[in-house]
Amino acid sequence: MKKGSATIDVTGLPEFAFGNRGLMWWGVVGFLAIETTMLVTCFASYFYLRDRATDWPPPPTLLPDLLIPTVNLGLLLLSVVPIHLVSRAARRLDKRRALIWMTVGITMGIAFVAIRALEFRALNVSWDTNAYGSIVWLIIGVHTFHLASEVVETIVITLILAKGHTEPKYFVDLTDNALYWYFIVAIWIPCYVIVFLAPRFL
Amino acid sequence: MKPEEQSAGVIEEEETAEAPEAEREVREGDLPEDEERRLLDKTWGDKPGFRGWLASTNHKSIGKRFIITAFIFFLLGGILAVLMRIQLARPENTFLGPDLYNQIFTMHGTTMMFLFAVPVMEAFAIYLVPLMVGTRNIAFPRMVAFSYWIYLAGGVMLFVFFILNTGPDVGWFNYVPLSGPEFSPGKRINVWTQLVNFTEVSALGVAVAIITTIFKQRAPGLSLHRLPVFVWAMLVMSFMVVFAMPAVTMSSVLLTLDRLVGTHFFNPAEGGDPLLWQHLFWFFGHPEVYIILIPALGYIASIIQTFSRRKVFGYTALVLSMLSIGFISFGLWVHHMFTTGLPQLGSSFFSAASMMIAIPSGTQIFCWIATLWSGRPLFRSPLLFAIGFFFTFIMGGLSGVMVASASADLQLHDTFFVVAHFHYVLIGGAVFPLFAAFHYWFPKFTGRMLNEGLGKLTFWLMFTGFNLTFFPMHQLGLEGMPRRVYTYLPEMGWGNLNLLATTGGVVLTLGVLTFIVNALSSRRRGARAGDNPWGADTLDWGTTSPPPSYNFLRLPVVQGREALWARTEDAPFVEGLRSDCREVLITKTLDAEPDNKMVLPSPSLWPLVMALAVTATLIGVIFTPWALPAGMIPAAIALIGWGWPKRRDERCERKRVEEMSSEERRKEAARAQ
Amino acid sequence: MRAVGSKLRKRGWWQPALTFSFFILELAFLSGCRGAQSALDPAGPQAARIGRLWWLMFYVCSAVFLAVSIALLIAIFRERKGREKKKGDEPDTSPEPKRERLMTRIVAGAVGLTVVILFVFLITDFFTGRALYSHADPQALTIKITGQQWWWDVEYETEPASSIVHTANEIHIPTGQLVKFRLTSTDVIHSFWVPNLNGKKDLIPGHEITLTFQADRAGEYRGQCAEFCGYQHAHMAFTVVAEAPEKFYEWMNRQRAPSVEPTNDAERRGQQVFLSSPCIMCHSIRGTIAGGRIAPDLTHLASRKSIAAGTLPNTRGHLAGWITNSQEIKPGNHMPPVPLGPEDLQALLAYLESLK
Ligand code: HEA
Ligand code: HEA
Ligand code: HEC
Ligand code: CUA
Ligand SMILES: [Cu+2]
Repeated sequence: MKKGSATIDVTGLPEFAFGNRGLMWWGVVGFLAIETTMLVTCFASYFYLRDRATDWPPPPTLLPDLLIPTVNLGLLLLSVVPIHLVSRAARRLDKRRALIWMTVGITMGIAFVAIRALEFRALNVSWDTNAYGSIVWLIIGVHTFHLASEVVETIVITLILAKGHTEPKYFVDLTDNALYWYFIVAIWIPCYVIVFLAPRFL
Repeated sequence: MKPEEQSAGVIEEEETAEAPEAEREVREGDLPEDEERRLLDKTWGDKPGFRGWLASTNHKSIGKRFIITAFIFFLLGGILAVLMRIQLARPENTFLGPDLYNQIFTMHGTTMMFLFAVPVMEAFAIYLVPLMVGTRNIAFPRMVAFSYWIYLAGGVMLFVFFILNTGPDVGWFNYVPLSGPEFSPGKRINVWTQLVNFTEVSALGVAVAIITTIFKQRAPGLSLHRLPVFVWAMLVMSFMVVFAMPAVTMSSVLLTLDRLVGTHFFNPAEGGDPLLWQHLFWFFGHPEVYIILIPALGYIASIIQTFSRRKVFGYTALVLSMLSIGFISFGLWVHHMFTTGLPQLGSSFFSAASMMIAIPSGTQIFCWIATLWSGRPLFRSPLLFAIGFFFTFIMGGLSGVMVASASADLQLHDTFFVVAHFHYVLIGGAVFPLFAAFHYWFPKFTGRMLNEGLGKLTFWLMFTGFNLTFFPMHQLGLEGMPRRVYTYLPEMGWGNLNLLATTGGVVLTLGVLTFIVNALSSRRRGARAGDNPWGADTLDWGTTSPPPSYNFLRLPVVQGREALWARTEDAPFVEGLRSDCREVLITKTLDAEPDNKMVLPSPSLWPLVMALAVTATLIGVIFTPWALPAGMIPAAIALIGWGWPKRRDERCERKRVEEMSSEERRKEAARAQ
Repeated sequence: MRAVGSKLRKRGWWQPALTFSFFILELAFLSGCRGAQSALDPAGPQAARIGRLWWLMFYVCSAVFLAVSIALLIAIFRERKGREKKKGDEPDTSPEPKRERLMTRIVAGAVGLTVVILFVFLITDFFTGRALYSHADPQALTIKITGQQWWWDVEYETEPASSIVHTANEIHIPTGQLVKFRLTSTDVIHSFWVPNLNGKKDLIPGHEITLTFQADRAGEYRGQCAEFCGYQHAHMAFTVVAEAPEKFYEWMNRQRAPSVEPTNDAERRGQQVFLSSPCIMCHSIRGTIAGGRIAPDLTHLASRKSIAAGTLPNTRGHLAGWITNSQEIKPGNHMPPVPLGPEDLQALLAYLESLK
């Protein structure tokens, strides 16, 4: 390689970047697409099975309760606030604020997973009662699985930061993780509507 | 070392020698060329020894492994096919009983679709896409390594269970209720559902890595409208994987739940429906076949361009055709279900959609014929295979249009006519292009040319054998022979055509054997290839054969659509990436302007550990649902180990945030928004 | 590189010729096929409609295949005439615009032609579909087919319900009349297919699908299960016997009657054997206490031409083999071997053979 011919010198380019300028963001978005497709598959199955049945839920199955799921929905929606603040702090490379809001977010996440256990009871049906029971358990189950792994993941990256690994790229991870959190919250809205509201008017 | 890193050190690759450069940053151009090459190789290459091999995160090492593994599964699937052909050669043959035959055709279909066709396409992408877009490694290399291990584990599991007489036995689309708990007790179907999970996890991981590599790691100047058709093909394929595979993962989860914990998704007695399975499966299954076809079209595009010695005719049309095949293919799944009593209007809609796909397919064929017409075709074995592709794929496509007619399909569905159709498109549309690709890229992979005479012999044996095997099946189907029958009565009169098909299978096998002999002997004794033996245009030919671990001494700057053909004497290149760190250049999504840099992760054994944990979990689920929660724990540990920061990677990282002044921090943050 | 290239341009004329004649041969293959289970030998209007659609697509597609193949072969070999030899193997990155424009027009034309051809196919397909879906008049003979692992349960839905004709694996229909089939299954998915009469439709548990067809020619048409249904999917055939209406109604009347009484000692003993062995748990013989519903109805077994869903001709020897060990003949089928002494067996056979 002869030196001296025209070159593009990249020495001075930034070594980390937020959002879709970084690689990690694309990875997260890829997995969001995959998981959305999975849940949409579940929703499609729900409506398919609804279409095959005459009554929904099929008697003698009762309608699901609304109280706890609605409270939990509110809690989950609320958790967007601390996570948003984490993301904002991260984009300013502000470790202290990021850690504080992260802790708040994680606490809400754990609370949400705990209440989830009650939510399964609010369904008033078991997964092996009938196809209706199977599909509503499945939707909530898949969502819970994602939620729980997201909480664990958030704990781990918080620990990484707290342990003093504060290179900028870990702040980028915080923002990408926030993106995933938003997804978990957003996708819960159709889940909630389908599982708890839809049987009331379908 | 802090205690928590000590345990990690067992699994992590130790730094081999104290790097003298550790203190000083070394950038491209700082050292004389040979020293720089040595340093780059140390940075990017696999660590020595078996452990280094296991820990590799280099896309070429993984890609090569992937290709060889997939090829071995092709041979295994092919051997199973030959066994089937022997059984069917004569009426009332007793070579295989029904139990074995059913396992074998299921294993054949499953192996070919899940363990050969899709993985081998992804494997080529893993190897070639980073080279073609001009970067030093694939994005998320650890995930790609994990994908390989999990794929290997899945394949090995399938064959081990098969040898233990627990091979799945209800066909590659595994219809319920036959595959449900009532009619398939035992573990055979669980093996199938878990195999699907193994291969889908693997395919999805690779797809995300390929998409990211293509969007973010292109060399400067390689804007999207200059992207080689091959890379477009891989991009479309990866997107299709992302949107199709989750459906089959989900359906295999549903079936596993039905079988293990008594849910009723597919049980008509409790409100479930067997047709739900068919919808879910084919929503994946149809795109699946184009996931196999589209990369193959990418190979053909490269080969036609190189060997007709002109830039391809109709670049835009080719790319748009691929994109539209990708889109349309999500709207045709019902053409596999024409006999399930759908309303006529629905059937007609899906007939129309299915036929529509012939338009972009035809457009591509016509563009390539035009390219050949106005070019000066060079007859080497890759082109020969490409021409074999044309004849067989067009034939298969036309029989596809026939079965796409809902009324005609009532006769043709589930007969050997369909078997003929899909082997014409699969072997014609994917295996011939793949062999073309083997012949074409073998010099790049190994630095040696394949023997041209043997290559041509391979082609003629495979082409003749293939047509002898599968052409008679059209007629068998029309004469009423259903597929998946382990035998038939002599008075049906299907014996002779079946015998012909079996004979053809033997010729086909000879062709594959010739190829194996050629590859094995040329690998060591073939003529030296040089960087660009075919005079091709894509960037992969712009480096040595085989490429060094770091791919390019300097990242190229692309000046035109046919990168190497457009390259001028004083072509610019990229300078300033660090040679002592796994730093890659990130460019803008559309126009590939240099944007920022990122350090890719180091080789690691964690992906392997993770794969082992996931394998144990998935195999456990074959026996008990409790394996899932139990398996979470090791998997979570492996995941944490995988992601936890390592000391020596930090050498290449930016300063810690605490060490920056607030002024510096603000500036850094602003640059990174 | 250059040297290699030009050497490679030498090739035999026989290669393209071989390829081409091969395909011509292949196309010639398909004409003139006949058989008792063949989609190419229609015996009724439905199969004929599909047959016409098939031949249309066959000829058009063959023409398309030939046209594209010829274009391809010319594209590959035209350069032999020596055009542009001078340029060697240097890649051509700026092809002549005039020719490119011409080729664009030709490719666009070919794509346009493709669209037209597809439209023709689609419309023909649509009208074929319409013809196939046209419903039989409500008075038409309706036959309910229930698929079971690996045989066919056949019920003629005639009034009154008490005199329903119930048989298995052999379906008689009158010629010249549209017959309606109601298809369902109690276990897994099967598919009901008589290629000479119509395309197939699946039998799916929890669903009921109808299929209608008509036989214009009297004759025996073989049908076979077309959806993989387990072990013995290969041996799940049946016969459709199309006969003149008078003959058909005669047959109906015979089938409607209960089973014949045994007329001699052997048959009487055989009936005893049958009724006192596990057979009655699965099979029924109307007129006796045997009322099992999970296996083929045997009331008029001897009137049928084959046993075990088209696997064996209905002869005494085959019946004996079947009863002693059906697992050898049709491995995995759901009838267990029934151990019987040789005399009991002979008596049983005599009885079964009397069930005309
Ligand atoms: C690589 C794989 C591949 C490809 C590319 C295709 C391509 C096509 N396939 Fe195929 N198909 C399979 C793999 C594939 N298929 C498999 C594996 C199955 C069976 C699964 C199973 O049951 O196990 C199957 C089954 C299958 C069915 C279901 C049959 C049945 O079970 O009854 C149908 C029905 O519509 C169908 C249609 C088509 C069509 C319309 C195309 C089109 O894309 C073809 C388009 C191409 C051309 C038409 C040729 C080029 C065009 C021209 C030269 C232009 C001129 C053309 C005209 C004027 C018509 N396929
Ligand atoms: C990419 C996919 C693919 C490929 C390449 C093939 C390749 C072949 N298939 Fe495939 N086939 C399918 C996908 C594929 N098939 C699918 C999806 C099904 C449906 C399954 C189902 O119904 O569920 C099917 C079904 C199927 C059937 C129908 C079974 C039935 O319905 O009863 C038949 C029958 O002839 C058949 C035959 C063959 C043959 C002869 C080959 C040949 O081309 C094989 C050629 C390869 C070889 C001959 C290997 C050579 C081996 C050696 C040289 C040994 C060397 C050994 C060492 C060095 C150790 N296949
Ligand atoms: C457990 C149930 C069962 C018992 C007991 C049983 N059969 Fe069967 N039989 C079947 C089934 C199921 C078939 C259909 C098998 C097939 O074709 O796959 C069958 C088929 C037959 C057939 C062929 C019918 C036809 O038209 O194809 C005959 C004859 C027959 N059985 C006679 C007997 C006799 C005689 C006995 C007692 C000695 C007996 N069976 C006991 C289940 C049973
Ligand atoms: Cu019944 Cu196949
Ligand atoms: Cu399809």
